Amino acid sequence: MIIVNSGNYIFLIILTDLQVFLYNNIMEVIKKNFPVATIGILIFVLSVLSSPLYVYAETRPLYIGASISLEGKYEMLSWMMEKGYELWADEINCSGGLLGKKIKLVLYDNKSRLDLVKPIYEKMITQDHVDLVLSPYGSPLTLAASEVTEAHHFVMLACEASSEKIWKRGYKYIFGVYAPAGRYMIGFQNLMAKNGFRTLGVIFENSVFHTSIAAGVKKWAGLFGMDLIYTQSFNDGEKEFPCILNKVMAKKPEGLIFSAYPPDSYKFIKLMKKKNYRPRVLAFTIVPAFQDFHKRVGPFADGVFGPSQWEPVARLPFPGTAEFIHNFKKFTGKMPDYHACSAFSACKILEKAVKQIKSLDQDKIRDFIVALDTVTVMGRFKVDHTGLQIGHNPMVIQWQHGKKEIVYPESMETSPADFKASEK
Amino acid sequence: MEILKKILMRPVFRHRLLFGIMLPVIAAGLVFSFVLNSIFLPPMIVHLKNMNDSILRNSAAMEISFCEDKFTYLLDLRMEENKEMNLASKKEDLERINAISRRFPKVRMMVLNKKGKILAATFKPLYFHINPHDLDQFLYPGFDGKKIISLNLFKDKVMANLKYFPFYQWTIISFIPSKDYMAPIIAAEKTVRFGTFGTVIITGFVLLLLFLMKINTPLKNIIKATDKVSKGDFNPIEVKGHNEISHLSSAFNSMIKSLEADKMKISAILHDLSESEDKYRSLAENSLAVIAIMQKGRIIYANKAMSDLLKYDLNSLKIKKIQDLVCTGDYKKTIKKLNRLENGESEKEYCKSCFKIKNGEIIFLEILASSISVKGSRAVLLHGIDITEKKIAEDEQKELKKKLTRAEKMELVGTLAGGVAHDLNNILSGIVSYPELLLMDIQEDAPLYKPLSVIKQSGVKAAAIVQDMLTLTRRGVVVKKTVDLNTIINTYLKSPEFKNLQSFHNRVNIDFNPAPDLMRVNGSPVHLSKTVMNLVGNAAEAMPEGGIISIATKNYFSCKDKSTEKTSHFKQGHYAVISVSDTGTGISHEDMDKIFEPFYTKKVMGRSGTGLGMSVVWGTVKDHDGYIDVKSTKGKGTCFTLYFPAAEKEKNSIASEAAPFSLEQYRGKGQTVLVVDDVENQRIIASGILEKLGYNVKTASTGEQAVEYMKDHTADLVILDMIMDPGIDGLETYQKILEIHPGQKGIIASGFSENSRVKEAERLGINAYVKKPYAFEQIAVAVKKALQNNKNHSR
Repeated sequence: MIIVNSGNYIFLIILTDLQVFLYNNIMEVIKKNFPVATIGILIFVLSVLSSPLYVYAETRPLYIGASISLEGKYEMLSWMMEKGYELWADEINCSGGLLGKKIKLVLYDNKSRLDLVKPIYEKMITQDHVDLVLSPYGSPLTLAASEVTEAHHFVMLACEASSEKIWKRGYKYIFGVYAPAGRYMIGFQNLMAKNGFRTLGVIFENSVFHTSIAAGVKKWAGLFGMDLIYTQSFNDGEKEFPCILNKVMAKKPEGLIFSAYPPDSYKFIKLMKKKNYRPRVLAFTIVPAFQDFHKRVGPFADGVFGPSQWEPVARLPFPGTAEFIHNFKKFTGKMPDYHACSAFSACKILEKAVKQIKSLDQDKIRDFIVALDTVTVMGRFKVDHTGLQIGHNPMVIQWQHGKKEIVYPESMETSPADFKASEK
Repeated sequence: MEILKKILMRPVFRHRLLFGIMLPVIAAGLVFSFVLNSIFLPPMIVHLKNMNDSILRNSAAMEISFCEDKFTYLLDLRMEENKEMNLASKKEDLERINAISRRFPKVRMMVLNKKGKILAATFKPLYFHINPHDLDQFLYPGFDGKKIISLNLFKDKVMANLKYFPFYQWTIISFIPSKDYMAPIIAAEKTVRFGTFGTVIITGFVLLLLFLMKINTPLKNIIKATDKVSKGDFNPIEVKGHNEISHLSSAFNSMIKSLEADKMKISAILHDLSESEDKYRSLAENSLAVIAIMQKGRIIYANKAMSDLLKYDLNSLKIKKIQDLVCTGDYKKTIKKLNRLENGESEKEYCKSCFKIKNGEIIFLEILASSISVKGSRAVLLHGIDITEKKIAEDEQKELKKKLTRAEKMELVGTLAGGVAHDLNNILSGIVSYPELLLMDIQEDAPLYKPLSVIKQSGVKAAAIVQDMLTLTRRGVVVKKTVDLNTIINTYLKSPEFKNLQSFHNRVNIDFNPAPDLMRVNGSPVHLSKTVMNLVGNAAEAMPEGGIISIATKNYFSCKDKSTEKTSHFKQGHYAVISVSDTGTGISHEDMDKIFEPFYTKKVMGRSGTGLGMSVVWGTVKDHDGYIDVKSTKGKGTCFTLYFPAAEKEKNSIASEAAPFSLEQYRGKGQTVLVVDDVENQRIIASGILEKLGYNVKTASTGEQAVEYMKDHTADLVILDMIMDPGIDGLETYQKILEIHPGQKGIIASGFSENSRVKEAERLGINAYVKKPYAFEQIAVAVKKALQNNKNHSR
C-alpha cells in the first residue's frame, strides 16, 4: 500500500500482490504469443478502465463537536479535557483520519455556565451538523448537555462526569468513563478503617457530583463500620466555610472528606491553615490530583488524600500509558492528569466504535459501546445497560514529602498510605 | 585471685613459652567469644526475630490480601451489597485460612468478627469468644499494621500480628506462642555460645599440639644452640625441612656466623678501644694539668691532678659545686665565664682563679675552659694549671718591682742629695762652725751674740735637712746604740720641737702609754727620735680640728709558725713596738702606697713639710731592720705601728748620756794635727777650732799633698776628708799614710753618712768618724778621744 498525503486530499493507489502476479504472467504470454497477447492486452486495458482501479476522493472532514470551559470554576479542569481531545484529534489526523477523513474539532466555550451548554450542543448538532459529539467538563454540564444529545440520538461519552444521577434517567446514548462518584471514596475509607480510624466527617458542594460523592461516603462508612459524625453541604463556600469549619472542629472527626471544585477547595484549605486545623486524616476530591497541588498549598499538601481515576505513572498496567504520557507532555508541555486521560480515552473508545462499525451511525455506535468491555489507557471500560461505568475503579492518591503517590489499590501502590505524613 | 596469681608466678608457668602462647590464645579465644556473642549474636537474634515477625506479618497479610481480592472482585461486579455474594466470599476467605496455615506451620491464625467471636481458627481454641475491647488497645486509630505485639491469648503469652478488614469488620490475628517464638533465638544463642567456646578450646588445644610438635622441639634446639653461642660455641644447628622453623634455623646459623665475625671485629675494636681508652685515661689521669668536666654547676668528672691539688677524693669532688671550690673574691668572675660556656654564649674562656682546697689553704689555677656536649647536654671542659707558686712569685716580683721603683726613686733622690750634701755640708760648716767660734769669743750680752746664735741655729737646721736627705739615701751615718724607745719618746715629748708643735696645734692632746718592760733596740737615737717626731707631727697635722694622738709601746714576738698575713714577712724574734695613732682625717687607699715616697706630701711644700718626713720614718725603720704597719680609715684616723727588732741582752745597755761639754776638758797640749780637706773653708774652720783648742794645726788640700807631707813629717793626728775629688779620697790617703807611719791616728770627716769606705777606714785604724759640718763640740771630743785612744793599729 502506498499512501500519498497532499494537503487535504488523500490519494490511494492500491496494487495488490495478485495484480503483480497477473502482470508478470501476462508479460510472459505476450513474449510467447504476440497476436493473442495483443488482443488480450486490449481486453485487459478496457476492463481496467471500466473498474475502480484507483480511488480519488475529496470529502469534507469529520466534524466532532464539544463544549469547553475557558473561564469559570471548571476552567482548569476543562483545559486538561480539551488538550486530551486535541491530542487525540492530532494523532488520528496524523494516522490518516477516521473513516478516511480528517477530523476537525468544533469547540464552543460554555464559560462553566449551565445555561449555555444546551444551546451550544443544539447548535453543534442542528446547525454545524457535527458528525460526533464529545462531553463538556463536570457532571452538571454533562447532565444538561446529555438532554440535547439524547434528544438527537447522539452518543456522548461522559468523560468528565461521574454523578450517578446522569444514568438514572433511562437515557440510552450517554456512557460513563469515570467510575461513578459514589465509589470515589471507597478506597480512602477502606484505608482509614483498616488503620483503625472510626469517625468521619464530610463537607461537600451542593451539586450533583459532590452530592453523589457524599452519598457514597455515607454508604461506605456504614459498610466499613465507621461513624459518619459530621455531614455538611454548602452552596456558597465563601460565606459558609467559617461556620462549617468551626462545627467540624468541634466534632473532631478522625477523618475529613472535602468535596468541591478547585476554587472552593483552595478557599477551604486557606481557611484551615488560618485556623491551624488539621484532622488526622484529610481527603479532597479533584485538587489533590493536580500536579501543582503541593506547589499551591505548600507543606499542607503532605498527607492529603484524594481519589483519582488515573495517574500519570508509566508503570500502570494499561496499554499505551507511557506513550500517552509522553505524547501529552510533548503536545502540551505539561504532565496529564486523569481529566486529560479520561478525555483521550473517551475519544479512543469512540474511534474504536466508528472504526469497528465503519460508520457514523449513532445507533450502531451506541450498540457497540454497550457491548464493549475493553481496556483503555485509563483502565477498564465497561458499562451497564444504563451506560453507567462499571469496569473502572478509582484509585487513592496521597501527597507524601511533596510527591504524589498512589496508595490504593495495593496492586498499583507506589507507596503505602502514611497517616503521619502531615506530622513530618 | 591470689592463688591463681601464685600459680601463674611459678617458674613452670612464667618461664615456659608454651604457656606464654597458650594463655594468650585462650585469652584471645575468650575475647573472640565475647566479640562473637556481643557483636555477631545480637544481629543474628534480630534476624531470627525478624524472620518470625516476617512469618507473622506475611501470614496475616496473605489472609487480608485474600479478603481484599474478594472485596475487589465484589466491587468490580458491583455486588458489594449482595448478601449471598458476601456470604460466599466470607466463607471462601475463612476456608483459605487453613490453606495459609499449611504454608506457615508455626503460625496460628484466627478470624474474629466485630463482636469478638472466633469465626475461624487454624487450631483448636480453648474458647470461641474474645472480648473485642481487649484488642482495642492494639487497633487504635493509625495503628501500625506491621507491628508485632505481645498478647495474652488463651492463658498463654503469644507474639501476634493484627490486621483489620473493614468490609467484613473482621480482625485477623496471626500469632506464635512466645516459647515457640523464642525457641529458635534461644537455640541460636546456645549454638553460638557453645560453638564459639568449643571452637576456642579446640583451636587452643590444636595450637598447643602443633606448637609442641612443630615449634617447641626445634625451638629448644635453637635455645640450646643460643646457650652455646653465649658460651662462645658458634657451631651451627642442623636444619630440617622447609618451614618457618627451618628458615629460623637457617637464619640462626647465618646469625651466629655473622655474630662470630662480628665478635672478632668487636674484639678487635674493643682492644683498640681499650688501648685508646687507656691512652686517653692515662692522658687525663696522669696529666699534670687539672682536667674536669662541669655540668649544671657540678663537677661530673675530675682527674687525679685536680683531686690531688684540691685534696679532695674524686667522689667528694663529684658532689661539689664549682662555687664551693672557687674563692669568694674570684667567684663572680669565674662562674660568669663558666656559665657563658654552659649557656652556649661562648666557645672558650680563659681565667686565673683562686680555689679553696680542703685544708683551707688557697691555690691559684690558670683555667682554659671550653664548651662540650655530654650525654646530649652542654657541659664545660676545664683545663687548669697550678700557678700558685708562679702567682706568689709574680706577686713578690710585683712587690720587688715596687720596691725597686721606690729604691730607684730613693737612689735618684740619694744621688741628687748626695751630690749636693757634700758641698752643702762644706758650706754649712762655715755657717755652723764660724758662729760657734765667734760666740766663744764674745759675751752673751754683746750685740752680735744673738744674731750669731740665730746664724748658728739656722746652720744646724740646714745641716739636719741635709742629714735627712742623707738618711734617705742611706748615706747618713747611723749610730747604733742600745736605746730605750720609751726614753726616745719621752725625750721628744719634752723637746722644744714638741713644744713648738703643741703651740701650733693647741687642740691636740697626747696620750702616751709606755710599756714598762719594753725591750731595748739597737739604733740611732737621733733617727729614732726624728721618726717619732715625724709621726707625731704628721698626726697633729692630720687633726686640724684637734684630737688625741695616742702613743704606745709594747713588746711583740713574731713566731714564724704562727704568722698571720700581717706579719708573715716578719723575721722570727722579739720586737719593740711603737704605735702612733690619731683621730684625724685618715689616709685614702690611693695615697697609702705613696706616703713613704720622698717629696710626697699633702701639706703645702715649704710651709710645714719638706715631703721627706715619712720617707725618713720608712728609711729609719728599714735601717733598723724593722717593719711598718699602717692602718687608716678615712675620716676616723690613722695608726702607724713600727716594729724594731729587740736588742740582744749583752748589748742591752743604754748609751750613757754624754757629759756636759767643757772646753778645758778637751783642750789640747800642742799636739800636731794634720787637716786634709779639699775645701779651703773647711780647712780654715777646722784649723780655727783646733787652734782654739790648743793644737798645732797643719793643713793639706789634697790626699797626695798630705801623703807627701807625711813622708817628711809626723803628725799626732790626721783629720781626713773622705771625698776629695779629683784626687785620692780619705781612705786611700789614710792607707798611704799608714804605709809611711803605721799606727797613725786619724779621724774621718765627711758630709755623707757612714759608708763602707768609712767602715774600711775604721777597720784600718781610724779612730773616729766626724760628720760635717764641723761642730766645735763634736770635733773637740773626737780629737781628744782619738789622741787618748791607744788603739793598737796593726794590719
